[in-house]
Amino acid sequence: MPGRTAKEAVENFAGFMNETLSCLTNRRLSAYQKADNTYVLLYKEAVPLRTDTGAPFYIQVTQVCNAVPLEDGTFKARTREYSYVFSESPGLDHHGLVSYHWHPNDFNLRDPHLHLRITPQVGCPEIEHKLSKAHFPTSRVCLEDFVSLLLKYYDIKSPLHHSTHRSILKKNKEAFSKNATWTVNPLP
Amino acid sequence: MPATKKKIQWITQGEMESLVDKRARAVLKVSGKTFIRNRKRGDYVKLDADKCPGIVELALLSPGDKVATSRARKNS
Repeated sequence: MPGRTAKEAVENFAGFMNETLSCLTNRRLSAYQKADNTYVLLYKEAVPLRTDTGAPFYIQVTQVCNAVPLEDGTFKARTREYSYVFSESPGLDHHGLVSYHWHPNDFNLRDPHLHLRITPQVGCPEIEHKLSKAHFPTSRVCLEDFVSLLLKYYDIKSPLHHSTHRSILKKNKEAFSKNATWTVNPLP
Repeated sequence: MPATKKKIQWITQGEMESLVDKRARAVLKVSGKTFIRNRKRGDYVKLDADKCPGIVELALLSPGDKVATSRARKNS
């Protein structure tokens, strides 16, 4: 959703992200302007979640964006970097159970990727070690897919009715698909 | 009220400095100021983030508008 100003575009963008995240939690992202036209949307602390059976988990969401002017004089927010982490603990001492990263300006691997960790009781410690070290290549991953993954496959309990969160995720993923300037491969 | 209409909470510079300092101490065992200085110097450019979990999330909070490569600028 464009905004009349860069800041309004970022606020609108954050509104969509908060709506998507409302399928998991009532906590809301905060925003920080870290440069003239660079903003961070984040949870200041890891956010606790519960599964249907009450098991505790956490998410940490951080997204960097800026605003670009459109031809009609309004502004649109664009994602520059992201980190979506799902973990069994609130700390930052590992990549969590599932984490999607895209950090094109830092570190040795800059394409979008996925980190996965499984429990070490598989019986194949060498495989477990390889899995925990791997950066699985991905396309650009939208927040809606991350949230859907947690609801569908990790049994996270939504504070919203099933039909409500399905509707939100469908609507916002469609908006992402419509507005994203790239999804599969970063341009060379 | 739809989520998209709710006001977002903006973090002050002081709050962010405090957050970066807290995370830098947890992840790298250095102060936030030291982390930022090292990052500007390029100390972490080729770091294997696997050897330092949490540094990705820390780097995203760092001040500046770093879009360092032409590739990065195109990938919006």
